[in-house]
Parts: sequence; structure tokens; C-alpha cells
Amino acid sequence: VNRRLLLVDDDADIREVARLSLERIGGWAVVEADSADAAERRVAADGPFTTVLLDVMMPGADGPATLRRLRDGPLGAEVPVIFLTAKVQRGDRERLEALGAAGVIAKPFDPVALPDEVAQILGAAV
Amino acid sequence: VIEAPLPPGEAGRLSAVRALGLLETPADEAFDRITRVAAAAFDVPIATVTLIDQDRQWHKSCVGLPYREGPRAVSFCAHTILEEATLVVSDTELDPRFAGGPLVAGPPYIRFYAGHPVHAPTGERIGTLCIIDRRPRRLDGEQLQLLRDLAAWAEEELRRHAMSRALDRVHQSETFLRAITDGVAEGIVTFDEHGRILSANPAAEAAFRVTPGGLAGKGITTLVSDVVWDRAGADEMVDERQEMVGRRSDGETFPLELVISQAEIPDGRLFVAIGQDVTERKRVEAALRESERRFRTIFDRAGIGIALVELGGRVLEANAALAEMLGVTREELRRADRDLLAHPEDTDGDLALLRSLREGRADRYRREKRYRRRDGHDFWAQLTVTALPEPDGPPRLGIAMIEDITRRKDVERLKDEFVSVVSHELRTPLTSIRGSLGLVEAGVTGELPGEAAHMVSMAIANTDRLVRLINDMLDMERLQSGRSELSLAPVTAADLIAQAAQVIVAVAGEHEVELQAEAAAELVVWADTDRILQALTNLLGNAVKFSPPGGTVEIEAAADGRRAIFTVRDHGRGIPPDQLEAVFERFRQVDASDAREKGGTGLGLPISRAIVEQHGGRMWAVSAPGAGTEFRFTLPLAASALETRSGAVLVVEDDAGVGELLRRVLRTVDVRVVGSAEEALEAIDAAPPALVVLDLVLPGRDGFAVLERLRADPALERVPVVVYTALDLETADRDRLGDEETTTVLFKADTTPQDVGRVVAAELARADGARLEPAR
Repeated sequence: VNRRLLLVDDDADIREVARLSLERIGGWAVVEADSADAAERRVAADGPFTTVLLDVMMPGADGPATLRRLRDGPLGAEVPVIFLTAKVQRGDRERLEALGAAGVIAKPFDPVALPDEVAQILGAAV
Repeated sequence: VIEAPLPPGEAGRLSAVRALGLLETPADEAFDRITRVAAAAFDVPIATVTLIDQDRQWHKSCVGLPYREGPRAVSFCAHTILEEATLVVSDTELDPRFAGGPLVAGPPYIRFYAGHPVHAPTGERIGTLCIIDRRPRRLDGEQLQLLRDLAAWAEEELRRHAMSRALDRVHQSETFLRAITDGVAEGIVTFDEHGRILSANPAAEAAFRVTPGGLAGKGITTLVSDVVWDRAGADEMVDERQEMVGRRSDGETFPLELVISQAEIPDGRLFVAIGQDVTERKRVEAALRESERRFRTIFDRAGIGIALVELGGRVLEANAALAEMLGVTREELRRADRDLLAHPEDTDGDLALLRSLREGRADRYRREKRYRRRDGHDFWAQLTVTALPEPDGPPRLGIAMIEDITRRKDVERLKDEFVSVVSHELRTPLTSIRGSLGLVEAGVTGELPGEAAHMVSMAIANTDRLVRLINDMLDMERLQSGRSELSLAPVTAADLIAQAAQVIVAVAGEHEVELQAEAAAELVVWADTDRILQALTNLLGNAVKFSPPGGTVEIEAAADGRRAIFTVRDHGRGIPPDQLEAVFERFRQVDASDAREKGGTGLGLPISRAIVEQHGGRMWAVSAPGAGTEFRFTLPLAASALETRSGAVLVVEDDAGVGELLRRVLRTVDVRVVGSAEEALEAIDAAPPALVVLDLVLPGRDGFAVLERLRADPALERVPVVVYTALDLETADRDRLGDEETTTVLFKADTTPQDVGRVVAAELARADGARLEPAR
């Protein structure tokens, strides 16, 4: 089974923690990107991906902008995208889901539970 | 009988007759004496002094006639006044003018007539003196002369009568003039060419402090300082209003304003000075000037922009602060048309609001809007326009106050940004910390020795607590700033309790505490489920933490009138009575060890209470030391039928932006939004609403039209109305809004659409409660 996950976050520490969690506990093959540009390149070079885990607040192109670029570009409309955000105030979740995300995971996340959360969102999205 | 023609100049003659003032007067000895002498001298039975009126002859005096008047048409005297000469008719039966006439053939059977014209003092032939006999006669020269003398005597009496009447009139007018001069507030002094005072009225005597009559004979210049009376210069002083310094008899001086006029009299000229002591007026004028100067200073130096405006929108006067705010000169402001420099997106609204002031529907309105400076720079301002009442008719002018609130808006924005940054910047490093620790603890990086594992789990517990603290602080901030929006919906109390218990059941298990839930099945409340769950889980979590192992925590909900009361009860150590309120204070714990021991943030209870209060409810604690604690809170009840009602809330709001905001705030309720009173009336007819949110200022007919429609219909008169308006209705006709039971007024300047949502929820719940009550 092809279980490849693209992790887009500008914070290297968070990428490392999430990668360890998803690879060691969740059994995912994780590819990292630190920006929208990098994400586009990775999708083109290392795709296809099962899902994308996308940070919302990034310098330059933010999560929603990155999502638009990926959807318009090599990723296409089908691959489910999950937002990761440190800004979970009321309404934020609905707003992000309305942009076409499969789900939203709040930071800080519990690394032990993260793979389960991802699996749950993808299960619901299928 | 030949009727006498009218003499030339009859109109003038008639007015002379009436001017005598003799017609219809009683008998007068002065004239009766003449007719008596005439009757005796000529030895005739009848003699009269007769006036010829328009259609009749009227006898001022008569001897031998039982009546005082007869028709002019058959009158002998009417012929007499046609000429200056005496009219003698020796035998009436031989004269075709009279033969066979009624006075000849019937009483008084006139056979002889002799009359001489009588003249008014002004010359008109107004009547006759005549003698009459019942047999034919002739008069010789002496007798004719006697008749003329008697006529002259009558004329003399007429003159005397006229003179006496004239004297009466003079006397009357003098009395009248005296009443005026005695009564007027102005002093009136008459004096001659030499400046000698002839008379002074009481007002003048009072002003100069002299006894009555005390001014006569004195020089006019003694009454004023520094004026020389000069006959040659008199002409220059006449008819000019002038100010002089008056001098009273005791030497005191006072400001005197006067006008001198003159009249020509037979021996020279007479001067009349009419003047007034203007001390009081000067004082009032000075006080007014001072008051005006003070208000001017306030206006000029005020820190906020102030303008006097026509309610059509034109600026009449503006202060320096306003000019500076807008980056223009005051002159430019005065010339400016309407709504000067308002931001292009904010120009609407004011004209309709001004109209409501003009039509007297409100005294004042307040709104926030953007203005654009001459240099293109925008700023936010709060505008308040107050109508100036007119003594009669609707107001025309208003005072506009414009306050730059850019700083306040900036602070609000900065605070929003700060909150957003804090939440992101703090959570990002915490994500790495929590993630790393979680992976280490999970053994991803290898097995940990016992003590290290303990240290790591302690670090995780404290990281989790730090995350909760950040979340709670942000929650608290949002609740207190009023920027936390509720999305209200009807939800059963049983659902809320079940969901909260679900969240807490694992923790309860760890503490070996049993949860017991109970709620009436039909109990439906208006609530934002997420928020109330936050409060409920908080209370449940506390209750579990403070329960002894093996204890129970009970959670219940019951109806209490129009509200539901939720109770969370534990059987722990309780709270001392003096601490029952303190537990709701931020970072306050009953016992200093609690925070660490129980892992709380110190914000759980304050947040829970704020959430409940935002719903329109109340939260409090009941406890006795050693007997456990009850935390209770209330929520407004909703009828379960509400969800299925169509068009439950009708929003009448012409500002599409505000309409949309209200729709979002009320998104859990069925909402119709219309932009005018006309559409609202149609919507009401189509489906009666459960509640109406009403803006008063609308295009076309105003919001009162909608109110009146509702209140006039027995089926709709109890429909709650939430008036949401920028108008200030403090003194405007609040009566038209109806009673406070059914109408709630919210001012746009003071409330947010979220507040409207809260009030709508509470009102709907209340209306449903009222509706359900009779059924109980």
C-alpha cells in the first residue's frame, strides 16, 4: 500500500517531531517541505502522496495559499489535505474546512495520538 | 303729490347730518325753547326743528306732533332744503306738490307751511325750522324775518352742540394720553426752545429720583452730564436715537438712551424727549457677551470637532478642532456642502438619520464612521448629532460632535493582533516540546530508566498545563472583551449533561469517582453547545478532583420557571462560606496548595461563569464545610418547537452588512432578512414571525410602520421586537415603541450584533416560556 505523506511546516523542530511520530508510530513514509515552493517541488519530484499535512501560519505563502497552489498545480483536487494550526480559535476550524481541507489538527499535538488523528480524518474523508 | 328731488351734494349733506350726532338723541331744552317761541310767536299749533335723513325726516324738537319722524317722500321740509330761500306754502290744497297728500288729507291736516333751511356748522343744509297751521295763512315781511332769525338761532344751538362734543373729545384724548404717559416704562419729558422743562411723566421722575412735579421749570441740561442745550444745534439732536449719561437728583449717573422729537406750537417749538435707563440692559448685554465669549472659547478650543449644521446636511459653523481633524480651513468647512469628506464607503446613512431628526422622530443619533482628510488619509470617528429644538415647528439645526477614535480602533486592532500572535508564538515552541517529550515517553527513542521516565511524564503534565493556561487566558480575554461569539441553538439539557459526562468519565475513573446524571427529558435550553460543555466539563472536572476516592458526583438539570438550573454536586471537603465568591476570581484557589495538587489553571471557574453570563444566565456556589459543594448555573429555556418554526426571526435592516452579521450571529435560528418596511410588512403577512429585529431608519417608510402593524394585530401584538437602531431615543417618542414587556431597544453605538444575538435568544426563550405557561 502506498502510504506517503507530505509534511509542510516552516518550523524544523516541529517537522522532526511529527516525522518521528508519523514514521515510527504511524508507519508513514514522510517527505518534508518548509515552504509552498518546496512543497510544489516535492509533489512534482516525489509524488504521488496519500495525504498532505499542511501548517497554516507560514511566512510567505501561508497554509491556505499553499493549498490553492498545490490544488491548481501537481497535487490535483483529489488528495486529502489536513491543516495543522497553532491558531485554533472559534470559527477557525470551520473557516479552514471550508477551504477544502479534509480536517484540522491543533498544535500542540500529542505525538503518540497524531497518527491516529490523521487516520481518523482520512477514514472519514474516504 | 310731487316728491322732492335729491339736492346736489346729497352724500356730503347726509354725512353732515350724521356728524352732528343728534339723530335719535332725546329731547333737548336748547332746541325745544326755539320751537316753543316759534309756535307762540306765529300762533300756530305746530313748529319743528327737523333734520332730513336719507329716507326720513326726524324732528329734533317739535311742538304739536305726537311723533318724531315721518317718511321723507311726503315731507315738506325735504323741499325746503333744496334752496337757500324760505319755503312758504300759503294753502297746501292749491299747491300741486302737496295737495291731496297724506299729511294734508290726513293728520296733522296741514293747510299752511313755512320753513327756512338750517345749516350745519360746516355749511350743509341739514334740515329746517318750520311752522305749520291747519288753515291757510300768509306771512308778512317781519314774520319772514322772524322765521329766518329762529332758523339762525337753531344753527347757533347746533354750533354750540358741536363745540361741546369737540371739547369732550379733547378731554377724552387727553385722559388717554395721560394714561399712556403715566403707564409707560420710558421716561417722557417735554421742554421748550430754551431748554426749560414743561412736564415729566412718573417714569421720568422715578428715573431722576424727584418728587411728582419736581422737574417742571428746571433746565433740561440738569438731567444729563456734558450736554449743552443749544437752540441752534437742536435740529441735529432731533429724531436721532442717542446715548447720554443721565444724572439723577442725588448725583448718581446712569446710561440713558433717548430720542428727542419736536412739534410746532403757536408760540414756538416744543421738544419731547423719550428715554430709558438702560443700566439693566447694559448689564444683561455684558453678561450675554461674557457668556457668548465663554462658550465661544469652549467651541474654539474643544478637543473634539464641533459643528453647527443644518439638518439638511450643510455646515454653518465649525470649530478649529474639526477643521484640523479634516485638514481643511474653517472657511472651507462653512462653504462645504453636505457630509464633507466622509469616507466614500460611509456616506450613506447620515441623510436618513438627519431626516429623522428633522421630522422630530428622534432628538439625537450616534454612529461610528470613517472620514477622509483633505490629504486622503482616512480616520475613524464617532459622530453624534443632536437636534436643536425650535420653539415652534420641527428642528432645523443640529450640533454635530465628531471625535477621532482612530486610537481606540488601533488599540482594538493591536489587541486582536496580540492575541493572535500570542496564541501562535507560544504554541509553536510548545508543539516541539510536547512532541519531543511525548515521543521520548512513548519509547520511540529507546527505553527510559525509571527516574528519567518519571521526569519526562512530569514535564509532559506541566507542558499540558501550560497549554491549558494559554488556552484559558485567551478564552478569558475574548470573553471579557466581548469578542467571543456565541452560536446559539436549542439543545436538550440531557444532551449537554451526557456529552460532558462522556468527556469526564475517564478522569472520573482514574479518581475512582462515580458520575450520576439526571435531567428532565423535555428540558430544552438556548445554548452554544461547545461553550456550555466547556463550563460543564470544568465544573465536573473540579468536582471529580475534589471528591474522595469511592465518592459520587451528581449532575442534574431541572426547570425553574423560564430557566433551567444545572447543578454539579460533589461530596468533598466543601468551601468555607467566605470563599464562595472568591472561587470565581481569577487565579484564586481556596487553598494555596490546590493549584499544584489538582493541576488547575486558576481560570476555569471565572471562564465558566463568564460563559454562562454571556448566555444570560447566572453561576454561583453553595457549600458547607465537610458537606460537599454544589455549583449551580442557569440558562434560558427554549421551546423544543422552535426549531421547526418557519421564519422564526424576521430581521428588518437596510444596511446589508449589518443584516449579514445578524444572519451569521443568529445562524442557528431560521432567519429572514429584509431591507425595508414594505418588504417586512409583506413578510409578516406571509408568515407571522416569532420575533422581529427592527432597524428604525429605513428607506421609504420607517420601522415604526412595522411596529404599528404588529401592535395593531391581536394575533401579533405580543411578538417580541428587538429594536436595533443608531437613533438615540432617550427623549423621542418611546411611547410609540410599545411597552417594555415586548420591545427591547439596543443602540448600535453601544452594542454588537453578538449582543443582539444574545438578546434575541433570551427574548425567544421568554416568549416561549410565556406561551407555554398557560398549558402547565
